[in-house]
Amino acid sequence: MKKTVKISALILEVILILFTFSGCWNYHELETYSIVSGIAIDKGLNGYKYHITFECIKMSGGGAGAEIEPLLLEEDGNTFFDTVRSTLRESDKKLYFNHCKIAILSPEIAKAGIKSLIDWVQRDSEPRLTMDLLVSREETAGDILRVKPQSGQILSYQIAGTLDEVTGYYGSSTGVQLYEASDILNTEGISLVLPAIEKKKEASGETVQFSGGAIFKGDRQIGWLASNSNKYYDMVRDKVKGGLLMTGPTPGSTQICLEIRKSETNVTPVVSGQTVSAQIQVQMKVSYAEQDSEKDELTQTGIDKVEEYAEKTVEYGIESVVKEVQQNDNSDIFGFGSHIYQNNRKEWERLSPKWHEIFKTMKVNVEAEVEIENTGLSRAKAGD
Amino acid sequence: MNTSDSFAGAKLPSDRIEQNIRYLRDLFTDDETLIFRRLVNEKGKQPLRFCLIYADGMVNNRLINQDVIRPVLEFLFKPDEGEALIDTVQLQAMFSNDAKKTDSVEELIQGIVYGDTVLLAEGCQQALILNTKGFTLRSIAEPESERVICGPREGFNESILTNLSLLRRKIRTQDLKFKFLTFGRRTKTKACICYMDSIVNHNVLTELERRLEKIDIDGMLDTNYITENIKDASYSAVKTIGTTERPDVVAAKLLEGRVALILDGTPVALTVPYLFIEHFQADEDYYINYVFSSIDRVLRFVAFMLSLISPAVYVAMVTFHQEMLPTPLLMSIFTSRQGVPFPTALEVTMMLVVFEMLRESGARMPGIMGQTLSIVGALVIGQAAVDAKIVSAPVVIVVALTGICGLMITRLKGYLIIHRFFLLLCACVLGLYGVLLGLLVLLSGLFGMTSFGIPIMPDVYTRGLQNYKDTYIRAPWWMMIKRPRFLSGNRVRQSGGGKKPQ
Amino acid sequence: MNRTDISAKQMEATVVLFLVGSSLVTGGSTRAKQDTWFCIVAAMILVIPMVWVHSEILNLYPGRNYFENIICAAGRPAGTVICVLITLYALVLGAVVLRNFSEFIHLVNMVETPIIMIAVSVMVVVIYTLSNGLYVLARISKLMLLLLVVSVTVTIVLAYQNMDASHLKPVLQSRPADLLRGIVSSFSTPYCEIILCAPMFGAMSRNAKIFPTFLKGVFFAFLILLAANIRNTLVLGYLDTTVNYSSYEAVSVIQIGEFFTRVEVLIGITLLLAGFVKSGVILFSTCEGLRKAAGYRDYEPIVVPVGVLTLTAVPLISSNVSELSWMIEHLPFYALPVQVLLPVLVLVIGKGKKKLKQRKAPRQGQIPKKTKSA
Repeated sequence: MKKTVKISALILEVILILFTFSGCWNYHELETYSIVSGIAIDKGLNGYKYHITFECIKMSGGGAGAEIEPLLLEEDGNTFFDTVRSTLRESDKKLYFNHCKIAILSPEIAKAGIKSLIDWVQRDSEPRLTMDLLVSREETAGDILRVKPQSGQILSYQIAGTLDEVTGYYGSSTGVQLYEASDILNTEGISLVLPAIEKKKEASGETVQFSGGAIFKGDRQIGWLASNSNKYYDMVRDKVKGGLLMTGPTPGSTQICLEIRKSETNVTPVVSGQTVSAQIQVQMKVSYAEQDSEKDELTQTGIDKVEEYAEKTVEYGIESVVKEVQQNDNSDIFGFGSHIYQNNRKEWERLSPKWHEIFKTMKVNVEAEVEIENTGLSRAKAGD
Repeated sequence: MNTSDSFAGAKLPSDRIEQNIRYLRDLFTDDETLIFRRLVNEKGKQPLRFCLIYADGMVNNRLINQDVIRPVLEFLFKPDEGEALIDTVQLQAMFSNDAKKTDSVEELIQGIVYGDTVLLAEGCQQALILNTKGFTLRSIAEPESERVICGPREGFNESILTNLSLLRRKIRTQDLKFKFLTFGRRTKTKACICYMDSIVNHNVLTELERRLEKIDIDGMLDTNYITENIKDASYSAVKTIGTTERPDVVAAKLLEGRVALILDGTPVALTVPYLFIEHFQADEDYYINYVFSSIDRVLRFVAFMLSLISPAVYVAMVTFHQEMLPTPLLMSIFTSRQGVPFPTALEVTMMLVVFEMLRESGARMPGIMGQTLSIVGALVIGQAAVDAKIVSAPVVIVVALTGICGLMITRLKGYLIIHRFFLLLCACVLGLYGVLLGLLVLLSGLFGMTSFGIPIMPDVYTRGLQNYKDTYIRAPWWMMIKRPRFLSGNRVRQSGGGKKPQ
Repeated sequence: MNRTDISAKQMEATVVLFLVGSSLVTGGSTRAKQDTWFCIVAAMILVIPMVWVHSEILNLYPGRNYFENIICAAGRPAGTVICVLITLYALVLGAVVLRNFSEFIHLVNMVETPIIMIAVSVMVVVIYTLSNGLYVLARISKLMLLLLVVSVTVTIVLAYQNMDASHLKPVLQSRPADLLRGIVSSFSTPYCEIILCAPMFGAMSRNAKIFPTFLKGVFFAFLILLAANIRNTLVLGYLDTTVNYSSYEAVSVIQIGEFFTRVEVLIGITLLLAGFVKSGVILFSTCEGLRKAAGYRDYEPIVVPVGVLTLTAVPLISSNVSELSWMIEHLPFYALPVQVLLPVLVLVIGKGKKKLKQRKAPRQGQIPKKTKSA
């Protein structure tokens, strides 16, 4: 009896093999694909809805002497996928999105809403959820991709790499990956900020740089966040991984430069009836990185005083950024609402219909605590 | 059919020596190596006629001259002994340690063809078989295929008695049993089952004897003839019977409760049962520091997996799951595939076949030629093929890795070759999922397989450290307190062991 | 130990993989959204009595034969009907499981490969393994459990930096109706599917106790499911509730350095392994049930036909994914009677009968016949 089973299993296997030999469906050689490294989305020309620039990886030569070059494809279409497939009219290779690391949106597209882009990326199995979303400060996003890369051969990968660095060491823009954006868009009481990118003229040619963020309300972009403000926005969102803090005796002065080692923020919303305020506590560990003044600040002012300066700077910075956003954009990018939602769902359900107005007038109370952990390799002069 | 079987029960025809000689001469018609040496002893009152019969080249001539011919010619026989003459020769005259009296033709023939000398005497129907075996044998040398850097360097040779003596010298106890069997209707090859009576798993022993009894074959030239006749899972490429040419290995396996079978005419001994783990155990593991041998073990497991799956995984990754390759790796594979006309799957298959050809031709080549071959192979296949864009460089790397890893575990050679291609096929159909399904097929094959009633892979991991002491690693000897599970009813290897020596 | 016996450890591993099976990839997310973990915990507590019920049915008569015990307890005609019902449920569930993960592979990696071909390939391997014996499946499970635990642990550790604790908030403030729906759905799938694990215990070695082994397996599966679910919620947040395969998506987000990315292959692999074991166990139970109902002596000859039958059901059970997920969501209402009601009923009748016989037997002084009943 066992033999019958085995023989029938064998026959099944043979049938399977016969079937499969007629076509290994998903078998694709690498060279049948055109690997996309990044895309830039603009408003379409000639009545089309979208105009997308694809940066693809192109090989020239072969073997050891092969070189990688970017190849730009541009196409119009009425939906994203339509545009993607339209490239097949001019290229024999299917676009392959799995290694696409960035998507740059033009301001026009960002203002019209980004939900459809997110939907496509999420739905299609090729593009990855870890794609970085960016908004171009230039008029068209395609312009950004036309810049010649400085390091490496592919601009998109350079941008994706730079984004990591700028988040960790400079703090002017924070990378937002697609799944995070999708989460924020669908969470109550918080709005999205995407990093902004712009072109920069240099002696040797053009290059790209990050500059702050683009503020969204819902899925539409409504304003910009300056490079410096972005740092304080990050602090409120507790997203600071590093970066610099310039401080001095007066707000806005830059005699002393501190490097942020660690930063932790606690936001506690206080609800009383229809008025809401937020308590923001920032705890920061920094190191003394540079002093740019004639006197030796460390020796003369003392380390405690410098810490105090820094605390003032942080408090002032956060307060002014919140005020700025409240006045200019009125979009809860700091997620005060979501804090209420997460801690007290019923309260939030009461407040949420009028959150638009409440946010505009809500007060924030910032308490910063900065601790200087070290002063680098130099120390304060003895005997003073 | 004129096989020697037809002589069963036949006796020498008469007590007249001439008649007996004629009878034997007729049996060996057209065999000119047979020598009939007539002798006449005239020391006594009447001349006594004897005849020695032996096969030329099979005997020790000096021995016959000194210890057979001289005593027969010089001994002073009493007159008129008649039938008792042959007894006198056996008991008083002969200087031989092994002299057997018989009148069975069958035994006489067996004796003659195996280098014994038959002595016929006038007036006796019985004959003497004298052990004068003197054929040349290979000396006891280190086996080519199982070299060790450190450890005993003896190897079996083609004589069963020498081999048994080698074994006996290692295990000096009456507990070691030898049971003789004869195989081959025509070759009459001797074989011997060896086991330790108090350790062996008797189920395995009876099962082995039952299967051996069923063998009916005309010739038995190597132990592989037996293997294929008694093996579990006869169609599978998995070995379920161990082979070795080393007496120390056989002795160690006997001490673990296994049964060994030694066949005359071949230096290869069989051991049963053979568990899957034994593919990874080398004899040298036990002769060198346990740390090194443990590292070697782990490396062998890694090599086995790499050798089995790396071509399949490469094909699956490059042609099905490009999304799984990190971007820089993808780019470098992409660059090297530029301009290669063949599909990846074909490329890999081609290179694997070429590698196997190279290996096979190298294995049968004498030393110098082999080296030339490998240089040419490496140049043509490695460098030139890549330069000419016939194959891409990563494929060469993958195939080389596969090959090198495969050579680390030579005992699994056959298994690896077949299943490597099987997995490759699976990969071409369903990508990584296919590889996984293929591996599941292999696993369920291995898990379901037995060797003489013992599962060859009972488990991959179990509780209890004792079970790991000779598997993925080798623990120091003082820690190995028990014999492997399933192999023996008598599991304790060293009572009072398990303590650190100091 | 007999070579075809299944040890307690192997049995535990099989139960774990069976339960984890398809739920691991879908992440088991329910209507309770971020409170799904609570549903999983509650369902785990609820399932303990069910584990006891199944163990007791197995222990009702010597021989530990689940379906035979049902027939003995409930009587020939009623017992056969119950067996057929359970077998039918097993058949449907087998098809759903196979469909579910063929669909997953199809959508995620093999868009151009027809679903049925994936299902066929898996089924062929399952049939081959089962035809080698159930113990082979159990041994494979034990090995696979190791891989599963390693992969879940590794992904949790690696996903740590993508986690956001606020995704679990607000804690337990979902509507009670949603919570209840969540509890029912995780109680039914996967926990109550253990009814199809029970027949396997007949092959377990006699010196292992059923209830502790069973419970340990279920509890271990619970830990893995809980860990996976919390990982998904913490990483994905809102997205967890909208994607089809949240474990896959959660793991695809992991990015450590330039090279340690794209580890979602681990999830695909574990899914295939767990799904393979699950299909194997279900196929075995289907064959066992059919064998008892139809009175065959051995299950092995019907493995292939039943396997093919399951395969034909794969494309039939639903015409598209939304229908499939609708079906999975509403399956509890059809499945719960079979999963809970029938076994409890059988156990009550069986225990009652036993009591009755015990009272009768000493008085009449005769040994009660096992198969003769109402």
